[in-house]
Amino acid sequence: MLEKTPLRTEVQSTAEGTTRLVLTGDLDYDTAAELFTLVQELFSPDLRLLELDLSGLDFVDSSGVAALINVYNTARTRESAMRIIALTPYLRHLFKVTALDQVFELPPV
Amino acid sequence: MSGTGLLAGDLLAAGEDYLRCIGRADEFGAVDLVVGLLADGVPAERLLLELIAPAQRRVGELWAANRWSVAREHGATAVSERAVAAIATRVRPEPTLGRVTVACTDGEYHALPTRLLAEVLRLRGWRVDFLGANVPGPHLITHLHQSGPDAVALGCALATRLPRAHATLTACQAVGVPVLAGGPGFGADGRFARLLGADAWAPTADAAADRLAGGLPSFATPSQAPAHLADEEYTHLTRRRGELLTGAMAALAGAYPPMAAYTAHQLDATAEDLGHILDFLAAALYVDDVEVFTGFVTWTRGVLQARGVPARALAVGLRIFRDELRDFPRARHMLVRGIEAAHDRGADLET
Amino acid sequence: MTTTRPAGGTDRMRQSTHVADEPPPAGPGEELLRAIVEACSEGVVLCDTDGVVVMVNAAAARMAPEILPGRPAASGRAAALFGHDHPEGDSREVGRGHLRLRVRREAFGVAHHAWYLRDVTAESARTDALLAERRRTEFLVEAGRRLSASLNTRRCARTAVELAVSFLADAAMVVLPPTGRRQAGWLRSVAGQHSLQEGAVTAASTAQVPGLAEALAGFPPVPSRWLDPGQAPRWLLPDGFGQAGHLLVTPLPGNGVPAGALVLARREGGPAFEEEDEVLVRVFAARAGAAISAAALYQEQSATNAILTSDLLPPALPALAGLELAGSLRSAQQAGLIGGDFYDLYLPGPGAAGEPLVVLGDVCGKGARAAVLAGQVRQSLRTLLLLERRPERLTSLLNRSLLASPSPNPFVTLVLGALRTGQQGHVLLDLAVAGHPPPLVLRRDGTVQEVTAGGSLLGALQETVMTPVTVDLAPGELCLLYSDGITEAVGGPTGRQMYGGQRLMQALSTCAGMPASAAVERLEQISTEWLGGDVQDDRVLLAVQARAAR
Repeated sequence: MLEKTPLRTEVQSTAEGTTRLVLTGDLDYDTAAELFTLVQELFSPDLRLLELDLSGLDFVDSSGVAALINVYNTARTRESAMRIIALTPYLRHLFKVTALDQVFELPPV
Repeated sequence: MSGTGLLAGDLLAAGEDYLRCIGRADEFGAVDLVVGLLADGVPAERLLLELIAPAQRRVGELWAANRWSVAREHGATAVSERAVAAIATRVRPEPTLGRVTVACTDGEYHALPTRLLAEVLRLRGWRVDFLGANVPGPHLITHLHQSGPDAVALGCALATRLPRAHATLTACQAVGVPVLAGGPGFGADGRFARLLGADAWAPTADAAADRLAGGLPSFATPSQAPAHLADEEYTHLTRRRGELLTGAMAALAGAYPPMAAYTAHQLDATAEDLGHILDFLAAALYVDDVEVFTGFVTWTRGVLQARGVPARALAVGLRIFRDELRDFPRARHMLVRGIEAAHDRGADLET
Repeated sequence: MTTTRPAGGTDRMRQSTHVADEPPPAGPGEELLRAIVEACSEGVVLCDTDGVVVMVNAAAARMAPEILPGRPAASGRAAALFGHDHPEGDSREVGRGHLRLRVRREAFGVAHHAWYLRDVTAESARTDALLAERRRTEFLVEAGRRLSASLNTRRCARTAVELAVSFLADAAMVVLPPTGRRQAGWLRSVAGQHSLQEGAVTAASTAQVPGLAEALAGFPPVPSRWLDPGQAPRWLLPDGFGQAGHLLVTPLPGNGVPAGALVLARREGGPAFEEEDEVLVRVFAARAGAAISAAALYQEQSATNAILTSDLLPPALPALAGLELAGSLRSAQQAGLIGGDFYDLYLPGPGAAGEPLVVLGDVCGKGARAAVLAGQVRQSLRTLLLLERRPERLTSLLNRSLLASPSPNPFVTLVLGALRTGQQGHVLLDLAVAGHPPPLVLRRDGTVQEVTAGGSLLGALQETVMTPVTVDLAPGELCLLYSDGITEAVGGPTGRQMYGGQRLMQALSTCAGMPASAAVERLEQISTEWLGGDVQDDRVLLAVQARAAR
């Protein structure tokens, strides 16, 4: 059995109304709920942009993708935005297969 | 023998036709042939054991000798599955005996011989649940609780599956169901079936049917683990498998410069071959029988020679592991014997 | 060495010196000795060389009144006590009516020998009771071990009757509570016979045995009943058993539900069922009943589960005109066969227009929860097919249906394919790929191509994009649909490599010329071996093949 790495999250405030969330480790079936809970707390009326740094994620499964979609949908209902500022080649491939590259704001290749 | 007047020679001739059909993946031809023989009065059991089983053995030999491709071998086997199914739908005796579960070991994909056993038992009047290839242990146990059979017939074609066969066997016995073991994996004389505590063993499908008719103990007695496992060589070897293979690939690249030009696929294939060496070594350690390992080496040498690969390549791999496994006295002894077998000129595979 | 003396030698010297110092005590008179022997609780019989009794004390006279001075000791009933071959100094036990005597012989010079008799009746009864108790305990321990092994009613009942004939009776039968058809199944075993007998009787027949119907109903509560063997109906006893001497019917108390009844028979001339047998039988019946009723509950639940999950299992893939289908589904949940990966086949109803449709997909999540969502997706598709058969339109409708679903994360990726027959044995496959790994096509020459279709995953976003594509399969060519459980399997020789799309394409290319079923089985085998026994994710494969020309 593969040893799993936990999900680590780091919250940084970069500018007025902008929060950056840095995720490292595994975003999967076991940890997806953690991200969702954390994001619910982050969204406040004055949060306009949530930046996600996903370049440190080792593994993302379908539940992980689902969690990211939930973050995106939450941002839309709260009238703020979600932007992915860094990601791994594997994640970019995953977003392409699921056509999420046409939905999420991704950094240029 | 059969009262139909059909002599063994006639089935032998039909066997040639049958092999031709399955070699062309000609499902209709093969099915028509067995159905025709059934209509002529040849007993279904003879068709299974004297026509289909020998043809399938021949298929294995033809692949080993590099005369049939993997695709042709698999195609032929798929057609034989259909032929067996055709017989099974036409001959359905009422079950009068008890209930038997027939399964292949976890990880085992050579399902046809086990399927033949299932059909022979059905023909003899057992109520049979055939679970097929690669049956995970927990799935089998759940089935045993649900169906409550009188016995489990467990097939194991490859010695490398013996540790898992052992786990399955023990689990069946723990729920009180006795196990009849069969298939080449348990040794030509069934020695590993005895070692691992099977309640019975049979070399062939008809012998297995006879053995079951004679009755197994109604409640299995759980057996002890073999004493030689106490040295934990098997455990350490399987735990370190990945690490040993990574090391061996690096050592091989050093010893054999052309490897630098290998494609990703060739590298995979090489790692897979080295992996087989470790798996058979682990199995030999598990049952403490050097012949499991030397038998594998001799067979591999034949397969490689048929494909124009010199025995030297095999011996290089064996030497790398011998040097790597310093702290494993039993494994080293087996590797030394394996290296001898790799050089043995008298045991070439006939093609 | 030579000057040292062993310590023991010194002690003995000192002792003998000490004894020699004391004056010898005065010996008791004959009267006194006789009185001492008379008062002894052990029986003493003194005999001369010819075995004629010289003296008997009161204790011996109590135990064997026929022994009289002046007559040979071993005469009449007493012969059993005094054997000529009795070794000197040894003791043996002899039964005498309800007494049990321990007899010892001692010689005194050449002229006399004495027999000592001790009444050990009480002592030996205690030992016998202890041994019997130990055998009963061992039996109950073994019964507990065997009865707890299985969760199957038939096997539990079988174990119960086999245990019963090994210790309690000559024949034993478990009658299970009547099922819906008013039939009570039974299992029976006979001591010394290997085979098990099984059958069923009508609930009405059980009323022929006093106490049995009540025991099967579990109400009113009944104790064990001793039956008159003459009243037993013929079906109760095995053929050729002979006349039963003793019959005992004991209810099997289950966990809140009756588990049936145990009928024990002993042959005529055998020992009757005593009070303490009945106690043991009752304890045994409690264990057997608990095992059988636990098994019955388990089987009832798994039967319910089987019904609930039957719709979630992959469908059978029938042979269709001009094409072959083969699928394989391996669930990560080992004992179950269900999970978030699925495939299905939709055939147009009899006489209805339209092409067969295949789907293969993967819902977010794992285990039973994911399986339920997968079942909903399959069911929704079946309904939506009444309105729409074009794959790309179907995916859009399915997306809206999923967005309206109450499931928290109703995300699904899938491939939909409509199957059309083309010219000269060709098969045309109209594909919509919704957020799923694109299918692979195996050409006749072994070339493998990735289908270029793509689109959004479903159930997540209001708007979806979809680029459908049509694949043309010549006879023998094959299109493979799969889930990411195959390509993202981590393992291989070193145990840490991802299998990946390249390896899958390479493996598929070696399947050229195989029937679809063989190709799917081979790919599944390669994937399983890559995982090396590890179970990570559900894995699903589905192949559509244009039937090869004969």
